[in-house]
Amino acid sequence: MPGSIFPTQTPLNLIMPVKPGAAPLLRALLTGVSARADKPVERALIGLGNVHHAQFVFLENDTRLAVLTWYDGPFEDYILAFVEHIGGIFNAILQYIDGADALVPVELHRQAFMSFVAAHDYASVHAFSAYPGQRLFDIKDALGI
Amino acid sequence: MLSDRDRRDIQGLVLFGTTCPLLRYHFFRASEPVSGRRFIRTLIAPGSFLRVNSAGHREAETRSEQLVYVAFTWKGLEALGVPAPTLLSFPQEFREGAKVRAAALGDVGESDPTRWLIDPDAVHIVVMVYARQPATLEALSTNLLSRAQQHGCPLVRTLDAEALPDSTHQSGQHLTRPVHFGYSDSISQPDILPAPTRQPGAPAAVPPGMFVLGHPDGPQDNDSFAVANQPVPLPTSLMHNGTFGAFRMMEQDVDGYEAFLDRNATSPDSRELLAARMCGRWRNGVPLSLSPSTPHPSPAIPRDLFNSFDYRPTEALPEAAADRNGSICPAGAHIRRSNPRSSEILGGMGNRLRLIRRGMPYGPPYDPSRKRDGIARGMIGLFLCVSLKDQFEFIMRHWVNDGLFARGLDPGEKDPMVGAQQPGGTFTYRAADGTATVATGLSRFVTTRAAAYLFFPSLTSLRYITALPEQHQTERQKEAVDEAVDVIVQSMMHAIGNGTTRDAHPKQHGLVRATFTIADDVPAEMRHGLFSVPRSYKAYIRFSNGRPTPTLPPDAAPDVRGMAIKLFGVEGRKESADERHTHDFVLASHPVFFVPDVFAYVDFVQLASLGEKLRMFPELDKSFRTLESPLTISYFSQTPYALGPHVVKYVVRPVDPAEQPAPILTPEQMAARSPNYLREAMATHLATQAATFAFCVQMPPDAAAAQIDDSTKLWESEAVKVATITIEPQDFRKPAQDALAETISFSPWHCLPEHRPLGTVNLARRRVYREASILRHANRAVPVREPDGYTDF
Repeated sequence: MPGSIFPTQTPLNLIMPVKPGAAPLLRALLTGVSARADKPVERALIGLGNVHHAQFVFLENDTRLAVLTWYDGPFEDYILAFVEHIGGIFNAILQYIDGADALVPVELHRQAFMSFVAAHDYASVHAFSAYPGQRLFDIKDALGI
Repeated sequence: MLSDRDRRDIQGLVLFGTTCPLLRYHFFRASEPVSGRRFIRTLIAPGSFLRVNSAGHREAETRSEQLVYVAFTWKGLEALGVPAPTLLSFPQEFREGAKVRAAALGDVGESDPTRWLIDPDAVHIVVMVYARQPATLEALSTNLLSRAQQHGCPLVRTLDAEALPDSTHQSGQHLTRPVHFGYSDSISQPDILPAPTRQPGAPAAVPPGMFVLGHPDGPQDNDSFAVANQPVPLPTSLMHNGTFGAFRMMEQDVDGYEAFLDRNATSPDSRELLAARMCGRWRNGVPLSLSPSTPHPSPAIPRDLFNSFDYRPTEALPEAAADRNGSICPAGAHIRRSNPRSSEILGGMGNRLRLIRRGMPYGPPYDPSRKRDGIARGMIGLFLCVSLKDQFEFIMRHWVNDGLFARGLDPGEKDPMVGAQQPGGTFTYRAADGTATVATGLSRFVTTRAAAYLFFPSLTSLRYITALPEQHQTERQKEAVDEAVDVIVQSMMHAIGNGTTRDAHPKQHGLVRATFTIADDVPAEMRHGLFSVPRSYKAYIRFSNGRPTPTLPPDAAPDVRGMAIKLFGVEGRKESADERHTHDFVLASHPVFFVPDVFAYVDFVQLASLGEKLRMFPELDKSFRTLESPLTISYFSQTPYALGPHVVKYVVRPVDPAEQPAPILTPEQMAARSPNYLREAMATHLATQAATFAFCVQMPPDAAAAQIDDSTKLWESEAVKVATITIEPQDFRKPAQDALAETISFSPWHCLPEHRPLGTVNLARRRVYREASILRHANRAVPVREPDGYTDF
C-alpha cells in the first residue's frame, strides 16, 4: 500500500548467542515446548495474528540460536502484542542467551527487549516471496481458514 | 490492585465519570514557576472552595454538584520548575506534545495544528470544572480565573461543553446522552478490576494499571496486560498514580454525515441500517451484533446488556455469532474499529488496549430542519491511558486510520465516522455470502480543532510539584501576594465600615498586666532575639473571643479565643516602624490557622456566608471551642516565625491554674451561663491568685515543614519552654484598662528582626493589622500611636 504504515512479510532473522554450556538445556526446552500437547508456541503465534511462519534453528555447533520468521506490520508498533503473546516463551529462552539476563521478564523490559532484538536481527541480503504484499489475513481469507 | 489510599490519591475522573452536564476547560499559562506552583497549591489546599477531587469517594463524587481536575502539558511541568530528571523521565510522546505527533494521527489539512483554536505549546495548566448548575459553573470559573490572575497565570482560553438532552431521533429511536451525529453514547467504558464486569458477557474488567501509572500487571500469569507496565516518571514514589490524557476538540460535520447517508440510501429504512453499519450500533444504542436488522428487536434488549456482545464465539460468550467478515457488524464500523473485542486482528489485542473516554458535546443540538446553520458543534474528548503511544496513538494510527489491521477490512479505508478521510473515501460492508457493498463519497466528518497531551498527576504528585523549594521570591510572586492582600484589606475595611471595633477578636475579656521572664536555660539553638538574654519584660495581655459577628455572641458560644501579648521596653529596630519599644506575640486557641496561605484567605473573604465558610474551611469549624477560663487553655502562633536562622512556631501553655479540657455544654447550660462569664472567671481567679503560662518554642517536625507555606499544617514536634508568663493577682476591670483594651493595636510585625513573621498569611497580616488599626482609630477620631509605656493603672 503506498503510504501505508503497514509493511507486509518482513523477515526477522533473530540470531542470539547461547550461553556457554547452555545449549543442551535450551534444546531440551525448545523440544519440550514443541512436544507439548497444548502447543503454546502455535497458540501464541496464531493469537499474534501477523506471523506467517517461524522456526528455531541452532547454528554454529549450538553456539547460536536463530529465530527466523516473516511477519506483517511495523515491529515496533507490535512489540507490545509480541511480549503479551509470546513473552513467556521468550522469558524461558532468554535465560540461556548470553547478555539477555537483564531483559527478563520481557513484559517489564519492553524497550530493552526491542533494542536487543533490533541488535540481533540480521538483515536479509535477499528475500523472496511467492505472494508479495499479501498479509497473513489475505492468505487465510483466500484459503477460507 | 488499587488500595483505598490509591483511590484517594488518583484524580476522580480517571476512575469514574459524572452526571454533571456542564464542563468548562480552562487553559492557562504559568508566567513563572513559583507563582504558578502557588496557583496549583490553592487547588489542593484543604478547605479550598475549588479543590481537585480524588477518586476516594465514588458515591459522593458521582452525586457532586461540582468536580475539579487539573492537568499539565509537558511544557507546563517545565514552566512550573519541575526538575530536569523528572521532566526527562516522561515518555517521548508526552514530551513532544500533540503538535509534533499530529500528522501521524491524521491531523492534517483542516485538522492541521496551525489551524487549531489553541496552540498546545502555549498551554501549561488545564483545569477542568464540571458543574450541575450554570450558576455553580460560573462561580467556580470566576473564582478560578481570579486565583490564576493573582498568581500570574494568564488565561489562554476556555472551552465549554454541555451534555445534550435525551431525545427522540427523527427515525423514532430514543437517544440517551446523545452525540450530535444522532447516536446514544456513553455505553461502553472499560470496567476496572477489582470491580466486577458490570454487564454479563461484556469485555472482562481490566487491571487498573492500564489507566493508572505505577500498577504493573505481570508477568505473574499468562493473562497479564503488558501495557500496564509503563515506566513511572521520577521520582517514582511521588509520581505514581498519575494518568495521561489526550485532549481533543473534534468538530462534527453533521450536515455532511446526513448528506452521505442520503446519497447512499434508497429508503428511510436502508438509511437507518447504513447509519447503524457506520457506527456498529443503532442510534438508540442497540448493537448490530445483537440485532442486525432492527433497532427495536422483540423481545427488547435491556440497556444494561448493550455491551454484552462479541464478534466471534468466546469462552465468556459462546453464543456470540461468528462474524469474521462483518456481515452482521461491518469490520470497519466505528465501534468495531475502536474496540475490536475478540475480532481477529493483528496483535490480537482487541480486548487489551482500552481507553477511558471522558467526552462531552459542545454546541447546540443539530436541527435537521435547519441544515447548514453555520454553528460549530462537536465533541470535546479526553482519552485517558497510561501510555499515549501504546494506547491512544496506536488505536488512532492502526484501528481508526488504517485498513489493514483486521480481517474483513478493506485496505485504504478508515473509520467511517471519525477517521481522517481523504476526499472520495469509501465504506465497505458485506453480506453473509461475502458480497461487498461500497458506500461512496465519504468525506471527513470530524475535524480536529484543538488537541493537547496532558498529564493528570496524583494528589501526591501535585503536592510534590507545588512544594518544590522556592529559590527566591520573584517580583511576580510579590505582586501576586500584594494583589491578594489588597482583596483582604478591602474586605476588612468593609467589615469595619465606620465602626470602632476590631474586625476580628472584637470582644475582650480583659487586658491584664503581666511579666514575661526569659528562662536562663534556653537551649543554645533558640538563643536568638528576645531569648538570647535571660531577663524580664513588663507586658499587657489581651484575652478575647475571635468571631467578628455584628453582635458579640455570649462566651458560651463556641469560638476561637485569642491571646495577644505586648512586651514593653524591648529596644532595637523592629520589623514594623509603628512601635519602637514593644514586641508583640499574637496567638489563638487552635494549633493551626484555617487557611494554608494568603490565596486561600482570599477565597475565604470572597465566600459570603459563614455557613459556606464552615463547609469549605473545615479548620475554621474545628477552631471553635468552649472553655471555662481564658487562663486555663493553650494558645498557638499558628503561623511560622523566624528565630534567628530557624523557622519556629510559638505555643503558650497554662501552668497554674492547670489546663482544663473544653467543657461540653448543652444549649440549656449555655443559656444559663453569664454572657461574659470568661471575664468573670478571670476576675475571680486573679482577685486572689496569680496565673502562670509557659511560653514555648516549637521547631519544625522535619525539614520539609519549614519549607512549605501551609499554615494549616499541624506541627507535632515538642514545644520547648523559653519563658514564663506571670499574671499577678489584680483587678483589671478598670475603665482606663478597658479603654486601652479597645484601642491598643497588636501586630505580629511589632517584633525584632530575629523574630520576623514568615509565610504569606503573616505577610497579609502586616497590612491588614495596620490598616485595620488606622481605620478604627480614624473612626474614633484619635491617632494611632504606640502606648506611652507600661503603667500599673
